[in-house]
Amino acid sequence: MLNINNVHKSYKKGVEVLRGISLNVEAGDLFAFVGQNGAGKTTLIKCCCGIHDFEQGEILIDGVDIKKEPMRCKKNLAYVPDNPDMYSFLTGYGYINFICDVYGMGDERKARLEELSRRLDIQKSLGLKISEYSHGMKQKIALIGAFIRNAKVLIFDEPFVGLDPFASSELKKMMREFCDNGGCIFFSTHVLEVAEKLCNKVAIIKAGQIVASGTMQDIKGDKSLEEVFLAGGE
Amino acid sequence: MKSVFWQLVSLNIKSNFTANYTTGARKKASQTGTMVLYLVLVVYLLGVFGWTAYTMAQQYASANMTELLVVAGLLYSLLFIVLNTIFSVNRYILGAKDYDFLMSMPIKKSTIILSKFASLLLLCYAFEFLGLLPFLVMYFAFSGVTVLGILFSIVAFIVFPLFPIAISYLLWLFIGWITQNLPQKQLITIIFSVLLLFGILYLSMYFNELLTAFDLNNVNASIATVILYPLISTAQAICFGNWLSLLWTILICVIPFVFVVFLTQRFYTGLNYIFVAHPKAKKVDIAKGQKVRSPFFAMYRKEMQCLVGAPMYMLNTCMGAIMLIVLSIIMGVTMQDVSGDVDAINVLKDMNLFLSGFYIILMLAMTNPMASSISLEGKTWWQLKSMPVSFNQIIWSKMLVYITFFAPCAVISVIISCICYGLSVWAGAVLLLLSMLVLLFFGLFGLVLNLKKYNFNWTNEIMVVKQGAPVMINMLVAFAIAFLFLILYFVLFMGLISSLLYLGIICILFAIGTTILLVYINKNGKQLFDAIEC
Repeated sequence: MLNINNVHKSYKKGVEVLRGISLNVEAGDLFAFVGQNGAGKTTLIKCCCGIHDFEQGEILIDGVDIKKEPMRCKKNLAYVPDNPDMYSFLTGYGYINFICDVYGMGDERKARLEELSRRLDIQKSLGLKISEYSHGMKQKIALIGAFIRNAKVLIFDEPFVGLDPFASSELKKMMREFCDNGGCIFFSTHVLEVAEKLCNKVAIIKAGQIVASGTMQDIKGDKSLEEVFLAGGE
Repeated sequence: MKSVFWQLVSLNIKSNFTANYTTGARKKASQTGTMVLYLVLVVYLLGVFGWTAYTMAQQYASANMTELLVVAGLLYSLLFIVLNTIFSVNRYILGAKDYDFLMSMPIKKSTIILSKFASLLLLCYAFEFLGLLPFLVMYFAFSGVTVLGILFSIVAFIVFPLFPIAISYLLWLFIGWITQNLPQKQLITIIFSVLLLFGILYLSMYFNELLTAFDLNNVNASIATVILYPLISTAQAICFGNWLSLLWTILICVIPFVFVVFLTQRFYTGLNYIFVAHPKAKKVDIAKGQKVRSPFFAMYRKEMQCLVGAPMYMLNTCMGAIMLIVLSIIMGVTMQDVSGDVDAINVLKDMNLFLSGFYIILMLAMTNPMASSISLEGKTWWQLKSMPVSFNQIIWSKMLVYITFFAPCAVISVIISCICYGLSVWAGAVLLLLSMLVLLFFGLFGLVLNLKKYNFNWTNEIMVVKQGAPVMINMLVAFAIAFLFLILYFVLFMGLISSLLYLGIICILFAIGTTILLVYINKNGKQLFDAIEC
């Protein structure tokens, strides 16, 4: 569903941030992507979403190359950044409707929004402008914007940051359900316990290179994910 | 090591002029380019004001009234500073985005407040440099240099901006206080601000009458002298070396400023609260749903909401279109009556048609929302990049919002001109065509500028809307084109061809320019867009 093959990316300063990254996220996979600050997690995620360009390699979303057919790819994926800056002049409700319009959703949005806003407990604040929202509320709206449409691949950058424990727990359930229904989620996190309990696959990135990748059981064995991570992924 | 105060001042100033459109090796070259751009703008404006001061000096010297030059310079400075400050109070001093951050740090409240006022003052000195200096130079050139005159000029230069800063601050505070609990806060703020702009424009239309109303030897000569007493007192100090006037100037300028600083210091938290919106959530009926729109119309609607949702953005970028209507009305109302003389009527009609064309070019081009439309995306840029919307959908939704607002203003202005000047249908049609072509040309020009020079690292919209490099370049080009329009007519075509034909030629030139820009955007626009990373 999401295939990353030998991706290289440098910033204009000449520093290579991603050095030959290859990963495969299959349908049904809940894939955790962990690494230290500055290791290249957000850069790779942005490359997958068509936000950043990359010099070498290819990224396929449902078999389609993001470089060659970005529009088709973007219709099939949904992205939530680590700091969801959204259009602050819109209300939460206005924003969700804007997203639904852009992704060509019809009236089915009503039932989906009703369900998602109830689950993340944000119905009462939908009429407020986003400029009035706390970080957690913005995160909830961004997550609703991602789950509401029929995307095949969800890509999240630190999705649990800022969420209250109820919303966090609900999000985990929503992620699991999404993957059980044939979708796949690729997300970065620093909360290794969550990754360990929630995900079936994991990749560890270090200085722009994947040092370990595979099923959670293969990677951690009898140890905890934290122990594996602190040992450098070996 | 710099003190906290100077570090904050330096940060405030830097944040006004930073851009992130390049990194690494190109950054230095780009910074140099920006510096050169600002320098060109300063030299250009100094040239314009220097020329104005020179022509006025010749006029006043023959009437032995060279002191009026100083008053004129002070009046220009006052207008610039008021316009700059009134839009800077909100989100620069009060309701600023760094409020929480700074207040959480171990920095004295007084240091934070003083640093903000000091930064504003430094910017105002730049405006005063442009507005007052050319007039002072001309005054001393025509009436002779005295040591006391120079000394008093320096003192006056330092203290004078404090007065308009204090007045604008209090005025904006008044608007904020009145509108704080009103449901249509944004709309009322826009109306207040437009009224203020009308007042300033009205004042500038009667500039000469106002200046001659000044009698520097008799301060009770007119109401204008009483209202603008600080100007008179400052001019008296500089021109006559009057110590008492200098003292008055210092007191009149310093006391209100100290008062507003004290007021801010005393009620900083409360005053910030006025400027931070705390609306109640509107009830949302999800089951009822919203109208389903096409992706393009959704984008258009989002752009429109962005424009009307931010009064400062709207006022700063659409001021030209509003001014065009006001100017048409004022020009129509103050038109000379030459009834009876057919030749005179025809000459006047021809000149009025030419002037209408000039104002259309100047006003529609002067402020341009497209020159900041990309930068305004700011930290939300990731959304446009990750959504399945094409480059054409993005830019044309922005262009359509710009046309939606500017085109009706241009049409209204043309209709007013046609009615007031009794222009023919052909003249009206050419004026309309000219306004549409000017609108399209500058819309596309602003877009290209912003695609090439964008800045997403702003903390206040004003930084990109008013002070961004694309906005500056757009303004420079707009002035240059309007100036060329005048020069070409008066030097080459006046008397040879009619204004109608001249406007027709200008229309063809704008059509060619628009086509070139369209071809450029079609060829390179997407590449420029894709190269933008945040």
